[in-house]
Amino acid sequence: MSDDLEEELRHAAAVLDPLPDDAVQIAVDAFVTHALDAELAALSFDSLDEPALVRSGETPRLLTFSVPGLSIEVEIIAGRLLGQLLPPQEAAVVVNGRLPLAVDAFGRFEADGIPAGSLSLRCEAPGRTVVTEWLTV
Amino acid sequence: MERADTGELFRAAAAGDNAAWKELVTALAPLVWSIARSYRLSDADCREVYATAWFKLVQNLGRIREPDKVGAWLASTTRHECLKIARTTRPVQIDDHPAVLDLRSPEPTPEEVVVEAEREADRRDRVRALWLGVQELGETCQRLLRVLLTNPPPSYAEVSAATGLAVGSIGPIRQRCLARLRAILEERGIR
Repeated sequence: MSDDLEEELRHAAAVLDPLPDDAVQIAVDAFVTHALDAELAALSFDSLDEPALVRSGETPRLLTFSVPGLSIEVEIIAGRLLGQLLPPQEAAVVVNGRLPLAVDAFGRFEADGIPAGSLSLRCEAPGRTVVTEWLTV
Repeated sequence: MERADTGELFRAAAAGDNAAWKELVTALAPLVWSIARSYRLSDADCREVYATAWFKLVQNLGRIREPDKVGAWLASTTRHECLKIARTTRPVQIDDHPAVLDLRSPEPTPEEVVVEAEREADRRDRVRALWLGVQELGETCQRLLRVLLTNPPPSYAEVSAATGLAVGSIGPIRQRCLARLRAILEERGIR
C-alpha cells in the first residue's frame, strides 16, 4: 500500500464528490444580506408548520418574521411575493439582495420572480435596519 | 493547496470588504460542504445546510470574538444544522447516495469524464475502489475521513468542531481508520 493513501483519498473525494459548481456563489451572495448594525427578525409563523387538511402545489406559503415593534408578513405563491410591514411604516425592503422596494402607505410591498431556494429580506426603516432569519422557500 | 489566512480575511470581510468575503468563501466552502456530506444527508438537505451555515456567519459577522477560529465556528455551525436535519429525516442509505450510484453507472458521469481526462483507466478504477473502500468503514471513520480529506486540508480544531471528536483523539482515530481502510483494500487485492 502506498504511503500517500491519504493524498489519493483526497483526490478521490475531490473528483467523486466535488463541491457543487454554484456553491461558492451561494455563499458569496449571502454577504449582500449583511448589515453590521441590523437587528435579526426571527421566524414567528410559517404555514408549513401548520397542519393542513388539503395541500396543493398552489397553496401560498405564509411567513411572519418578528422583532420588537415590527412584524414582516410575507405571502409567496408561484414565485410572487406579497409582503406587509406591521405596523405600516416608511421603509425600503430589499428582497434577496435586489434593488430596494418602496413600501406603500399600508406598509405593503411586492416582488416577482422569487425562485425556490433561499429567501432573505432586509427592511431599512428610519433609524433601524432589520434582516430576516435565513429561510428556504 | 495552501489555504489563505482565514482570520485576516474574516476581519476584512466583517469590515465590509466584499473581495475578502469571496476569498474566505473560497477557502472554507469545501470544508462546509464536506461536513454536510459527512452526515449522509440528501443532496437537497446538504445544500440547505451549506447555505444556512454561510448565512449564519453573515448574520454573526460583528459578533465573532475570535476571527482566527472562524473555520471552527463554521464547522460547528454546520454540524449543528446537520444534526438538526438528521433528527427530523431518515438518513440516506449509503447505497442510495448519488456519489455511490454514479460509481456503478455504466454511462460516464461528468465526474468520470474528469477522471478520464486526468488518468488512464486503471488509475480511474483505483480511485473508485478507494472511495468504495471508504464507504465500507464505520460511521465515525467515514465522517472523520470525509472531513479530513477536504482540500485544502482543515485544521484539527475545525475537524473537532465538525465531528464532535476531541482534538486529541483525532490523530489516533485517523490512524485507526486508515489502517482499517488498508485492510479492506488489501482484502480486495488493491495495493
